Amino acid sequence: MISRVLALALNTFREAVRDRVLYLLLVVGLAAVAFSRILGGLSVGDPLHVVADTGLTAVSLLGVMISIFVGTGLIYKEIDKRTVYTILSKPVRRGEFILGKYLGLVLTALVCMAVLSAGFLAYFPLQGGKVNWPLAAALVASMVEVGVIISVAVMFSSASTPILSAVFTSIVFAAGRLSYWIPDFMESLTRMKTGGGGLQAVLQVLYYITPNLRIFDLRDHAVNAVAMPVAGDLALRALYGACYAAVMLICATLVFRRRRF
Amino acid sequence: MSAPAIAAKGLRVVYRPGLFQRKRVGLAGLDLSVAENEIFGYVGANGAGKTTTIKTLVGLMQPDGGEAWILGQPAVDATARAGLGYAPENPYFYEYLTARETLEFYARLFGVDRATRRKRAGELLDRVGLSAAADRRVRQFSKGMLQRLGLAQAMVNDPKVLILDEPMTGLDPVGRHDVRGLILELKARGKTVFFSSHILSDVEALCDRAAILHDGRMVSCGRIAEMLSGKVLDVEMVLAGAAPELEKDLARLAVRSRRQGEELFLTLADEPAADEAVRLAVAAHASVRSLVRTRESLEDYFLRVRREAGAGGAGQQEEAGA
Repeated sequence: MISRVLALALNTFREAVRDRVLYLLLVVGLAAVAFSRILGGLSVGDPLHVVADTGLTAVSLLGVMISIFVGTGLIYKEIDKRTVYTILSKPVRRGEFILGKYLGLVLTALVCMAVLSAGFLAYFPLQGGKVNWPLAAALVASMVEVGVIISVAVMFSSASTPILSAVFTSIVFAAGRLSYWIPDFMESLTRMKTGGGGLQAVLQVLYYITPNLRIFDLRDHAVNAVAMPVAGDLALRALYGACYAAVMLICATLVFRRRRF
Repeated sequence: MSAPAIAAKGLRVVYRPGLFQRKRVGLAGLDLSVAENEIFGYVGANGAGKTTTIKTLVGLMQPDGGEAWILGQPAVDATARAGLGYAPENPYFYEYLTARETLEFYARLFGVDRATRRKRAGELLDRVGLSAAADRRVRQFSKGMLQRLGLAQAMVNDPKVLILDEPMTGLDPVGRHDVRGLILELKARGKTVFFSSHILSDVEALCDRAAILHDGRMVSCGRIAEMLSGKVLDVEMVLAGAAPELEKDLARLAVRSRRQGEELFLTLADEPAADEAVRLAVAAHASVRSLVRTRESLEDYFLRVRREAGAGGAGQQEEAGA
């Protein structure tokens, strides 16, 4: 099983790295890092904060863009181009196919994010900044977040067209970044005694099914010196991300197993 | 006794195009058995269910009913495909890979080690006549080259059973000749070859047995020699130097007659009529250039069986809506 998944993952990686869009995204990201100093000079406050914030945001955005633009067409393209015929007629289980495609794209995103991170971490000290543990942790956390988003994209891609998948994945991404306010909002509703039992139920379901992506955003901790969560807490967040991605991949497999080609 | 190489019992596939569209029967309870080391031809008109059968056998489609087996293992089980090779009609590959990389990638899915992958890819490319294009990207390949690569990838695991969907499609006469040779070579090596084709002369020339499919049902299956009655349909005769009087006498005997230059072409209904025509020609000192008995071909048989099946009401294509 491992060799088949590995073969599919490496093939997906090879396909993705031959896509010129990827290099364009990387160049835009590197340009954003390079121009962050100018932005810092124009803003009020510490210019180094702006450089750090821009660098971390660029790395995160690059990963999100790869997830949405490449991930949402990942499975659909195989079906549309009929390359799936010669793969699934080999001793490859449908779950192995989904896992291989997922890991291949995660590898692609991680390599791109690592290249941009390296550029940022090389540039930051030149501007007088200091590369430290919170900065590195923030970069790693955004990579874990991308792993979760790719799993969502793969799930939608196994069931729908790239355009619909991109819309749904973007909605889940936005909801995941904003879902942290749902408990506060529900508490306000309870305090105001406005009723809204139905709304509360909907919000509760939404809170549990959307990924809590906020926990992977450590920019405040890295840039604004907000206390960094302890290592155990960070590990739990990573575990949460892995579990969420696993659930998405299981859903993708269940959908994909029902498909006829 | 060993299990058949390919078997199916009561295989049923129903297509559901949309919520408000009528269901369409792809396969209506198909039974099939292909013995080991057999070349089996699968014949049918467009939409008869040939590709649906093949996709069900190779695991691309789950049947709605019935079961299929490859070398005794359920076809839905991925492990059954370890001994199977499949070449789809108009195969599609990753365009950014070269032909060699493509074969090595597929070999890797069977867990073949690196050294064997390299060696086998080279041998197969040579076997299908693609050695010169081994390191060219697949996106530059012509349709015929893709078809050859499709056959090569089907053999990458040295399978016991090969299922080929229209393997001659897109090939020039040389390509078709090569594929016919390849199929016979595979049989000589003990393999089982199941292939669908529209080219009935290929099926007739290559297959031990064949099946004819019509509207998702098998309407005929057996040895080709047994399928064809062997009955003489008519006799074609060509004469030279026939005088006008002889031509008039022969025209009365023949079903059709046509003169082209000094040659007279006659179609005679049966052998006694042909004997009488020869007697008259020899007596009139005309020269008999050719005398050929026309027997029923697979194409004639196919058209006859289809006509009979259609008249028998086997064409129930649609079921009640959902």
